[in-house]
Amino acid sequence: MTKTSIERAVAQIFLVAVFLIGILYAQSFPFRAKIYPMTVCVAGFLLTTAGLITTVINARRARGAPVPEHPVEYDMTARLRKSTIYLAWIIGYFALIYLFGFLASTIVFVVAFWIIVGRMKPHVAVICAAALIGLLLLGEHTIGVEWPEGVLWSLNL
Amino acid sequence: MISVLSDVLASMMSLAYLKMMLLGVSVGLVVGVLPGLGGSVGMSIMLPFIFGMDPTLALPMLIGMTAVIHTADTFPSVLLGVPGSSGSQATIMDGYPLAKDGQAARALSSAFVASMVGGIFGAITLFIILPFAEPIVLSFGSPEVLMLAILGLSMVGILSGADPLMGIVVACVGLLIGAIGAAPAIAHYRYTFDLIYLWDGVPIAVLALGLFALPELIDMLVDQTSISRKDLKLGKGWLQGIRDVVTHRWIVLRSSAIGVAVGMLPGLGGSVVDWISYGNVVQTSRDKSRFGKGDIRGVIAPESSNNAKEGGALVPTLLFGIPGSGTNAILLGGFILIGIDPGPLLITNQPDLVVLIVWTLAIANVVGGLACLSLAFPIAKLTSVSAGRLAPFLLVIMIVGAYRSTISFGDLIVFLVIGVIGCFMKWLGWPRAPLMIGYVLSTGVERNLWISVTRYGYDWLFRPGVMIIAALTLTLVLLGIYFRPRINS
Repeated sequence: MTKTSIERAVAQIFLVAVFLIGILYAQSFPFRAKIYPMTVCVAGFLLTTAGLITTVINARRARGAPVPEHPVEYDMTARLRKSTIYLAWIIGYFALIYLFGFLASTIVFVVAFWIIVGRMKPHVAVICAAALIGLLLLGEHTIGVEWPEGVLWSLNL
Repeated sequence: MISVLSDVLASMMSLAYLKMMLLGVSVGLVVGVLPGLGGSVGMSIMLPFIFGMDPTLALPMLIGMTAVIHTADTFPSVLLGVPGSSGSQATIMDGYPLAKDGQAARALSSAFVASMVGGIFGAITLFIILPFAEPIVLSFGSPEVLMLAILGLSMVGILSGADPLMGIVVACVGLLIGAIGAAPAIAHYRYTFDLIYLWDGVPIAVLALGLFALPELIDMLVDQTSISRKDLKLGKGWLQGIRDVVTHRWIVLRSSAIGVAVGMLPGLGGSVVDWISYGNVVQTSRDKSRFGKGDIRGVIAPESSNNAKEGGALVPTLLFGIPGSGTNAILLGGFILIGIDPGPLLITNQPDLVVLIVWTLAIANVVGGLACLSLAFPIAKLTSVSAGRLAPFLLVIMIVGAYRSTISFGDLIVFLVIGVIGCFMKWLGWPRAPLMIGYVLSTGVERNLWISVTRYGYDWLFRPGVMIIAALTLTLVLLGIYFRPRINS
């Protein structure tokens, strides 16, 4: 099987498991709550299984001759590798928000991101961050936007 | 209905309405100009901010934004050769060569005027179709409406991605996500896994932001899409572009009609409508020699159709409550959030809101077109903002938006988890629109399924209307599975 087929098959197996868990979990629901999720899960389970079988058959065919598989928009592994750094930035930002609250974390995150990834000059990054915080505070006062507070410390302006 | 037109127009002449519409139009212009973003991203960013708003103020914002995205997305297509959104790919074919030839201003002005006319055409068609379709829609019972939802979901699943089967599976995932939380027919919590956060289900704004906005943001960073350090030269020919539209007025009208017709079909929409009208204008032109090298007709046709499509796409959304695309699914979610219940009874019960939508669609297209014409250079400069500089700003807005859903940190966790799932779906080439549509339709599907079963037992499956729609659905699914690999290859 090619790398693409394996990636596809793994994702389909994951979905089969999701629908299977959905079916098993729905057994404990009363009839009125069960009928809809059961119908959806059974349909999803059958269709995903059919998709998985198709993937395997196509992959086997492709082994002998260059039969085109389902077109894939991206090389997933390469994409994942390139995206990891940005996902790490975002997860780090979320962790900061959890610990120190939204406003303080946003100042740290945007300045760091603009300098390191956006290649902005430090003083420009600080000015832009100040403008962004100003906009957020304006939003707080005009449309009542609320911020996540940190468990350790929170900057409430 | 005609008297409602003038009444609603009079009520629209308020500062509050104009402010909200201009806000929506401004957001739409920015989202359209930035390559990589699109209607779904713009709509998902806006959705959290309409909670609790008066429908007469929230509607102009949402419709205003939707209406002008395909006007502004012409900038990157013409100036950079990069599609601003999926609906402006065909514009590149002739728009970019024209820009390279120093005629960017001509291409842009003809595109804006054609978009304006197309948008107005779409709004007028929407206004004409809705009252005629109303009696037909009202004759449907719950089983038929249920089957129509399944037909719509199947069509979206088949047409919106490269793999029809997985498109339908993704729609099932959306329907399943919609089942999370309190069951509507009985006091019971489903799939909450003892998490209080999930008792009310997954909030629509969090799902939309995670599914569409976060994956686009990450891909924008990976590709460094926006981009250009190229000099932005618009050249001359603004008036010539407007004259071109007048000269080729029949192309504008024909392409607008194509746009409306394609927009009405769930699943087609944005990504193909421009190519269909481009193909049509090439096929029907005597002199084909300039197409692909800078023929203004190759700009006018797709630009008319992609704006007209929005009017067509609102037909199934408003009449049946069945959205044809991810953007319309989020729009439908927005309608529900502000207390509008799209479906067969909407025109009967709230004709003023329907007319407000029609007027806003028409006026926003005019405002958007004029804004693009008069502010072309500053708007065009936006295309040169790099992804690394834009991303933190967008991420902060997304977080603020997601957090507004339930004001809990769970919103951010779910946003991140769905965002990662959305990334994987995008990388696998699986469409995300069916998931959103499945989620939005889940409540209606469950309600109609429950009514059908309790009222008719299993006899509802043998009602003539149900059998006809079921046969149509099955035929389309089988045809889709059979023909799609051939179309792909």
